[in-house]
Parts: sequence; C-alpha cells; structure tokens
Amino acid sequence: MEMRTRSLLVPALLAAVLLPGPARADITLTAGAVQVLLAEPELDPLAEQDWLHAGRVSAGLDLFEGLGLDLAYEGGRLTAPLFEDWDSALELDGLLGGVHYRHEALEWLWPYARVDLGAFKGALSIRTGDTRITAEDWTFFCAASLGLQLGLPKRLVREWLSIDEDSFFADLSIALDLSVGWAMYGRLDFDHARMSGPGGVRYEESAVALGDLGLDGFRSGIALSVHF
Amino acid sequence: MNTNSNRLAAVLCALAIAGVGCGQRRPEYDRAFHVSGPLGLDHRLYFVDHSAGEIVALEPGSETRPPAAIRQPICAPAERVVPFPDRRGLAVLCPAVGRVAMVRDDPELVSVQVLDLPAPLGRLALSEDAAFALAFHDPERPLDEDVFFSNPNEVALLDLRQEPPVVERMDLPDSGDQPRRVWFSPELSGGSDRARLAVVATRTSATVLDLLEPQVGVTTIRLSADASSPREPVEALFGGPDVEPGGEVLFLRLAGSSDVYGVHRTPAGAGRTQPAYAVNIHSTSFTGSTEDAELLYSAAGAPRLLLVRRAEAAARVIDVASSTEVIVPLPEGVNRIQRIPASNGDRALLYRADGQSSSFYVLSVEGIEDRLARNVEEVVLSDRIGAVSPSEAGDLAVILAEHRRAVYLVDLVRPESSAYLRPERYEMTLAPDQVAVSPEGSTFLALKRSGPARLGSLPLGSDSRRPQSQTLDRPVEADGAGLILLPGAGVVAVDHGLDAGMVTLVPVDRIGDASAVRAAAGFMVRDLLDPR
Repeated sequence: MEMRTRSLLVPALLAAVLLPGPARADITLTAGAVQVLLAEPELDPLAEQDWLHAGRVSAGLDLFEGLGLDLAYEGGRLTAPLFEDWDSALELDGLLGGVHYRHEALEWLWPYARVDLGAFKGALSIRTGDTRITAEDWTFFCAASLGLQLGLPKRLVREWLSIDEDSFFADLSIALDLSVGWAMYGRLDFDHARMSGPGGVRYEESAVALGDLGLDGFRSGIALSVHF
Repeated sequence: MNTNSNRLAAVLCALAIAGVGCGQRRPEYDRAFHVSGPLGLDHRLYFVDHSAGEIVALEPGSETRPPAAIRQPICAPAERVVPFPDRRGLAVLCPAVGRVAMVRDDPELVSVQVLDLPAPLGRLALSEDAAFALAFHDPERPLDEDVFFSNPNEVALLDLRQEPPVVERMDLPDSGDQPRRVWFSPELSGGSDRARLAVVATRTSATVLDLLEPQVGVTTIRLSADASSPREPVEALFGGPDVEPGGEVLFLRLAGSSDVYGVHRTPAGAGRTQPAYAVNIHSTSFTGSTEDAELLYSAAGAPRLLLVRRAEAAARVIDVASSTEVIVPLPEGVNRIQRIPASNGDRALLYRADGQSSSFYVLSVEGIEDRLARNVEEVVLSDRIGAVSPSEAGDLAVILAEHRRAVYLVDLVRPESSAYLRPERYEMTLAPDQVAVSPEGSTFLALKRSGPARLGSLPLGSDSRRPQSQTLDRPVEADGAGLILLPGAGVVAVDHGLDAGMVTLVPVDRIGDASAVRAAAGFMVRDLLDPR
C-alpha cells in the first residue's frame, strides 16, 4: 500500500513542478506540529501528560478541482520519568499517504478535509541505571482531519515579493493551517523487548513482554503551508 | 456556510469533552520502584513489588521452556516478608491495612491468600512446618498517631492447616511489655498427651500457648518482676518429640544469665482443665551469661543441655533428668554450637564466631559423664574461622576463613576428610551468601561477584572432586543477592541486582555446560503497559 502510494505521488509531483504554467497543478508544502490526545491508561508509564507532540512535513498536489494527494512524514517522541529514577521514551515515525479536498471559500480561507493512511514505527525504551530495555514494532495508521487554511492572497504575496505574473511562483501563497481530526492506529506490540546493559550477552535471555499500546485519539495540528 | 460551521463546532466540542475525561497519570509510576528479594523457595524465585502491592514469581523454566515471570496481587503497602521455614511459601505483612498475604510455592502454581488480621500487626513468626503462624505488634514500629488506645499484647494466631486458614484473635496476659520473639515447637507427645507449643517472649516473661487448644492452654511464666530488670528469653529449645508427662518440654536461655530455665508440662486431666507448667532452673557454674545452648540426645534418648560461653575454656553439659553438670575442658572458649544429630548419640560442632580462632571442636555427648571416654576432637584449620554455614545436607558445614579467601567443607562425621578450597586465582573474597551446598549434599557451589561474575561448583561425596566453572554474562551489582538455590527445580539462581530484574539460572548438575544456562531479563517490568 505504501509503495503503491509512493509510486503514484512521486511522478505526479515531478510532473507538476516541471510542466509549464497552465498545465501545472497546485503544489502545497507544509511544515508544522501535530498534537495527539492519548487518553489510554496504558500510556501512563510513558507520559506525564496526555498529549503527544509530533512534527509533520508534507507535500501535496491538487489534481482536480481541489482534490489532491499528499505525502507526509510524522515523527514524535514521548518521554517521562518513571519510578522516580527511571526514564521511559516512545518514539514514533510514520510515512503517510493522503487524499484531500480543499475548497477555496474566500480568497484567504480554504477549508479542507483530509484522510491519511500509512505506517508507523514505534520504538520504546526504558532506562534504569546502565540498563536499557528496548522494543520496536510497526503498525498501520489511519486519520481523518478537517482543517482551515488562512492564507495571504496571492496578489499580496506577489506584490510583497515582487514576483512576475509569468513566473513559476506567480501563484505563491502562504497560509496558516489549522486542523482537527481523529487518528486510529493498530496496536503496537512490545511483547518481545530485549534488555541491554553491562556485560555481553552470550546466553539466551528470555524476551520481556511489556504489553501492547494503542494510540487512537483526537489530534489537532498547526502548520505553515506554502502554495505555488 | 453557517450550517457547516455549526457542524464543525459540534464535532470540536464533542472531541474536547472526550478529552477532558482523560484523567491523571496513575501515582504508582511516580513512586520509587521498591522491590525486595529475591527469596528462593522450593520451585521459584520471588520478588515483592512493595509499591504495586504485588508479588513477582520467576519460574526457572527448563531446556524446552524459557523462564517466565508471573505477577500476583498481594496487599499494599507491603512491608515485611517472611519466608516459610520449609521454603514452600512466604508471608507478606501489610500492617497499614491489617492484612497478611500467604503465598504458596506449589510445584504447579503460585497461589495467594490474603487474610485479614484483627489489628495492624507488623511481625509474624511461623512454625517450622508452616502449619501455624503468630502475628504480633512490631515492637520497633511506632504506633499510628491517630490511635488513641492500643493493646500491644494483642496477637493473631493463624492455623494454616485449615482451608481457608483460620485467624484467631487473642489477648496475651499483660506482662508490662509486649511480644518480641516467638518460637514454635514440633509436635510433642507424652503418653496420650499431644501438644504443639508456641512460646511468646517479652522482656519479662514467656507465655506458652498450646496451639492444639489455644483457648485453654495459655500460661504466662513471669521471669522478672518488672521491666527495669529484664530477664528476656533469647533462645528456646524444645524437648521431645517424646516427653514423659510432667517432663521438661521447653528450655529457655535468658539474656545476661548463665542459667537455663526448664519448663515442665503436666497435661490436663485429674481435675485440671488445662495443662500445668512448672519451671525448673538449671544452674551452671558459669559466672557470666551463657552465649549459646543446644539440646543433644544420647543413644538412649536422654537429653543433655550443652552450654558454652567465649570467656571460659570449657563447655557445660547438664543432664536434664538430674540437673547434674559435667564440665568439659576445651583449649579455648567458644560461643557457637551446631548440633550434629546421630542415632548413636548426638555430636556438636563448637567454634568461636569472632574470627580469632583457627580451631573447631567436635564434641560427642555419648559417654560424656565418663572422663576417660569423653570425646572432644579438635580440628585445626590453616586459617582463622570467619563464618560457619550449616548445609541442608546435615553432615556438612561450610566454613569460610576469616580473610574470606578460603573455604573449608567440613565433613562433620569424618572431619579429617574435609575439603579445602582456596580460590585465590580469582582474587576473590567470599561472603556466606556466596557459597552453598546443594540440598542433597552432592555439590558445593560458590559465586564470584567482582569483575566478570563466575559460578563454580565442586562435586562432593565422590572420589572425583573435579571443579567446574561458568562465567556469567553480566556482573553482579553491589546490591545483588548471592547464590540462591531452588531445590525443587534443581536450579541455582544468581540475581544480578538490576532494578528491572536480571537473573541467571543454571541447573545444579550442569554447571560448566554453557548450553544449559538460562537468563531472565527485565521481568520486573513485565506487562508494564497493561493497566492493572
């Protein structure tokens, strides 16, 4: 699924950049932050509060009447002290493909809806003294978001940046992107964790069954988008 | 547009309301990780997670089955852990909530029973066979501030033979003090009389309970008139198992006294509704306090009290029946006795526990009254004696040199054939918890902690004493436990002292075989992500 999405998106983005004016579709590059509300009690050992803060970068391509595709990377990290002098950390890295529909309600207001699908890698680490227990797992991801892009009118941007109307960047605009949504993750299975620490390991050690983790939850995002 | 905006607002509100109910992080993750153990019982290794109020049992596994840890709730906050003397279970006291958890280490499963105690009792004593237990107030624990009155002589007798166990609240007679020590007798029989006694010592008295009839058989023996001149029992020895009716069933050694108090028991009957106890003082010619006492039996079954103190180069042997004393001269004073039971008359290992002597003595009680036949054998070691660990195999004692760089395996039947080990090559020092003898007496085991940890074994009882050694993967941290034997599983365990849990497990008969070594790591955080 991921490979297929990538094989469609990459040629489409290249084509959009290289093709001359009228045939070229709108491209959106976005960078921002995502906050995910994680209310599951199983996250208590890994977080002091319920919000996971993640970064997101994405590239989008409007193909037809506001309908477009996105390719995004999201990465976040939860850390927390545990049992006073232990530390825990959960790192999440995901590659997502998405479909969006954006409607230009006003010259400066573009509401949109987006569905993302992808895969996430979760890396869990628990440290106590010189000892570290680590585990990794992959899971699928699916999210639905509604958002608003509050943009500067293209005309203003052109004037401020002295861009010619014939230029490749003639339609350049910058927007503040606000979104809310709901994300569903497959459960991350950390039942085969391994311990590392002082001394080499020659004898077979039994795996540590830490349990599994669900990350479903409400998410909100704030980002800066560049359209051209 | 307005309709769309309203819908969007409704969704946002619903999500916000859902988010409000998330709750706070549970407090156990912010408390220090407080674990005690491990305790090695018959089949498993046990840790107590005090903050979570749970027990973690580590099954050693086998060649085909990896080690596995299971968690079971007990009571919280857990304070004191008391292993059963027969290694088939352990008790965990939670005085703050007035409960005790009884954990049974059965071959197939771990079972937990949480019993309610009548009061916040912080100490527990168990009989050798774990059939009875007595819970009492911890004399070192201050009373809770919100308690106005307290009864320090309130105890709970637990009959663990019953299913479920029966907890009986009792008030012991007030002696001006409170219980400090408890001893249990084996089953005593004299004619048709059967008894199992518990002796509860305070600083001024000893209370005798008949566990088979706890409500009628309570007798307090006052040893001192007031607490300002305490006469506290520090050791109890039980006669028997066969004691004539009216005979002495109990001997008490008191702190600061050279005398031993013998307690006669006359069973109920002939107009008495409860047994009667009478005290007989066995005086010795010691001028100071007796430091150790032991009850030895001749081949004919006659009991003899053996008493020693370091300041006098002699042992006192008292014939219990006649109270006559025999003085057995020794080359030096000793202060420790280890009984060596034998059907042809008991013997005793005598030694000094202060690291100042390189000799120990084996005294035979048979013919002790006959000066010519008197048998005291002196064995001189090359090093001063540091610690003596009796082995579960009976006829073997492990003696650590005072400098802790040498180990002597003393055959108590034939001391001349004792083995001597000097593991200097590793520049190691040994503590008593770093050496052990397998329960059947077939293997001597030692653990080297410093540097790369190493496990060593020496077969005993055969002509071939070829040592084996096994280097362990990980070092043993300073607070790691020593060698722990799991006799039922035939496994020796080494705890590496890591908070997250790290134990190496080796079958006793396969030390040196790397393919037999198993390791359990991180088991203390098992199921960390599963909400309990």
